[in-house]
Amino acid sequence: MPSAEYSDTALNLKVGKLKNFYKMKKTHLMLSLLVIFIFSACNKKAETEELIKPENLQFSFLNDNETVIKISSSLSSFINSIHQIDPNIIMNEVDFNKSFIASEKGQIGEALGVNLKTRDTEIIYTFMLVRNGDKIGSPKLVAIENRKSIKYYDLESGTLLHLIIHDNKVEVMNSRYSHVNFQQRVFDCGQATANCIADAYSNHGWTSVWLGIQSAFLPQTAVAIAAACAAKNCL
Amino acid sequence: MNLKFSFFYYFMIITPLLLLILFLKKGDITSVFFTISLLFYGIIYHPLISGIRLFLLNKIEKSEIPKTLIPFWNLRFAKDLYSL
Repeated sequence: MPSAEYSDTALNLKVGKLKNFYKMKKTHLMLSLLVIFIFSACNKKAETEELIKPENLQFSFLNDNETVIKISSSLSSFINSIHQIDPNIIMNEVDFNKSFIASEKGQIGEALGVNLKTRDTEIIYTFMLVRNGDKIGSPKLVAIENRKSIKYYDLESGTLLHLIIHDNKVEVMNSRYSHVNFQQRVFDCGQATANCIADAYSNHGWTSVWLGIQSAFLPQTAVAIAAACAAKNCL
Repeated sequence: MNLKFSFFYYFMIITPLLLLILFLKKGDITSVFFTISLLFYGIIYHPLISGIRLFLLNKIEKSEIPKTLIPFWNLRFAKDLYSL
């Protein structure tokens, strides 16, 4: 009897090991498939990036006076911001007759822009608005330096997207550049803090309910949330 | 109606906050208005209401009511404040 019992246990162990082996194999298979899928997805992205060819780009000078006025009025409200980014840009010599519209075949959005003159010959500056149907996005200043660096300054939010091109590779960096006027920065920070507090109290389901109850019993909670939001948005 | 009564006290501290959150959810007030009101509630309104209740319950002197504006000062009377 003991030997039969032993053989049963041994058999169970063997079956268990076999099951574990198949389980591991399954996991490995799943992982391999996932890795292959990710790689293939990345390759596809690379392919699509390569597909953007100059012949797909459409470029023409703007004849539409209304759009030119839109560009000029938008540019005039960001003169200080642009001057802060580079004082070498000559703002009173902008040739709006050379305002252009650029788009990619098959894409919905289009870029409206005008080149800005600068005392620095190595950098080309373009003031740009992205139009999507009737909507016009936040204005941007694009700085191209020796075809090796492209900087997108978002003039409204104060963010900077920096693309550095070397050895056919593009390195992307996101950061903030110093915003123009202190008043605007304080206003942005205050608005963002208010939005953050309102969001905490209204858009997080049960957490928001709990926050409301805790604030009713311990009002310092509201002050703590305000401080946390201010720190997140203003520092 | 007297702040001595717990239910009235609860009504006084919960209703404004509840209304603020409801109005915010419905989009009747802006986030800036909500924030200013919330800070007013947390720093001035709630401590003062609690101070008045503590005074009515004979836990503190009338002259001590402004002391309730000091953060966490009320907590030592939490049992008296929130007991039903």
